Amino acid sequence: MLRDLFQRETKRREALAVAQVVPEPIRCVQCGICTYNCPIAIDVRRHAMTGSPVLDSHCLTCGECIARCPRGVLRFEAAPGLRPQARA
Amino acid sequence: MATRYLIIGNGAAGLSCAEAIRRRDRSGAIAILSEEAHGFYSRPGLAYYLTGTIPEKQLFCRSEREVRALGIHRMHGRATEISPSRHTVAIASGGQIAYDCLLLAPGALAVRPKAPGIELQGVVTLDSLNDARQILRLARHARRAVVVGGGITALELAEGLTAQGVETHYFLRRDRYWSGVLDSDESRLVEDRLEEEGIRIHRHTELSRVLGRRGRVCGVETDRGLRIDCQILAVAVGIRPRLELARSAGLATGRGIVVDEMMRTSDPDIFAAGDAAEVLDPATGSSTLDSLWWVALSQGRTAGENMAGGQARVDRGVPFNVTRLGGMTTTILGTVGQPGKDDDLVAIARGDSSTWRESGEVESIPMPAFVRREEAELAWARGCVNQEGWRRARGWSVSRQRNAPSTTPVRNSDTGSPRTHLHRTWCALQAVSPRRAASSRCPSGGLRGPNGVQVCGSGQVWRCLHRKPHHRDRGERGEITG
Repeated sequence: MLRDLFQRETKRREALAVAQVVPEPIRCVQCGICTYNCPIAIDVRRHAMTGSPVLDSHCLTCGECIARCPRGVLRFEAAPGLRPQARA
Repeated sequence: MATRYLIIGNGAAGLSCAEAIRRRDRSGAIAILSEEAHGFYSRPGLAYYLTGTIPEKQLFCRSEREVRALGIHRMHGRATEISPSRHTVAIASGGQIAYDCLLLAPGALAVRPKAPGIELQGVVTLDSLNDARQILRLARHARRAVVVGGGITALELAEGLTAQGVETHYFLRRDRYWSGVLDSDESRLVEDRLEEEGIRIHRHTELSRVLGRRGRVCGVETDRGLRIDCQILAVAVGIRPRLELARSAGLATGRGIVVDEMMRTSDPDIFAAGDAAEVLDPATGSSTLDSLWWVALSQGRTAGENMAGGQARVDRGVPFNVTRLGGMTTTILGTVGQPGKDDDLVAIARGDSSTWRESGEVESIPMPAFVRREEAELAWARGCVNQEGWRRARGWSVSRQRNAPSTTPVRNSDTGSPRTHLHRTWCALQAVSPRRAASSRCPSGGLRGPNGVQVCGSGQVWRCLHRKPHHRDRGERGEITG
């Protein structure tokens, strides 16, 4: 049970490390909750409006914007070119 | 000479139109005439402003500087009359504005029910930022509020007022919430959430009279004769497109301002978009009146391109909305509110125009490309978890997307106890990883359904082999097998 829990957390962290936040603008109502909750003040709403992934190098991929968005606009997606390293 | 574009309305349709014009015509003079003194803001975001999730300044998604940089001139004033022959718009403060091409995007206003006393101070609707400000101002001194209406806006008002510390009573005309759209289980889930938040629900109750003292609301009386003292009465029983300007110009109107697929009205130089536009489909002869944010953006964009000489056509696609019902994120697909089938039609006009309920129905709906299949399948299960569980579920979305299990909506036959919510959370989280479900235990100890069978969020039936109803009460753990 405990091992499963850690494995899941490890997988989650690995996924976050290679992920980027991708918006679907059609769902967005531009309420600004994502921007307001970003710990490093990235204007996520602007990305959501234009439909461009959050490629800001400062993005921590903490998932706060994804978790707070009330309309499911944002999601994690594997960033192109980045894949989790295969473990021995 | 540069073309003079005039846009009446400062909403989603108006601004997207102005931006679309600027993309095609770099030299035209664009002016937006608005009755609101402030800039463009997110109307759906007002619900989150009321609950205190975001501050007011967060609602403004375009700064004045950005608008000016696009060469868009914003004017504050109310248009009173349009003269299509002279190509002018009269404004209330006196004077006229000349145009070459005009967009009407006046939006819609909330309908007030016909009840004695409805004009009293303290009766509020949620149409604009000024309304939200007024509600917050009133909530500072109010002890109790009554909310009337059956749709999403009513829920936003009820949750907003509760979040402001006002004791809120919510009148439902029927026995359950949004009976025209949700089934009884879904309605109960929403109502459970509302009651947990502290909202008092009155079923089979209609407003019959608003009681006042010195011009202010001091209470309401229901059709059953019940009197409730309150300082705020919030109404959200539907919306009505604003048609007075279009009528003054002699434009064709029906339920809204009638436009073709290019958003052109019966006057070739006047376009309309947003909540007030009724789009006529020449192929089928049917017309649609939507009040969704992205539809307004799309219509405004189409109108803007055509005003600047383009030949764009609006593509309505499948009506789609994601919204929160009692804090639960709910994905809604397809059209609801068919006339004759849904008595609450006016009440659900704002916000949503569509729904999905059964995964079977989802199969039969032509799925737009932007709806992820697993999301449609998991939307309800996700909505069933509490905030923390939901966040965790969203955090696992990367691994979930690969092996999303086939799920069906929850059909729990239990009541909304805390243990139920714990169980629902577990169910929804197990949907992420079904293999683990057989080997792990529900933290609630499981719930006994009819004949000991429990329908979980994963859509699979798990037999709860509980000899005892709750392990925390009896000191025993339940066992769940597939």
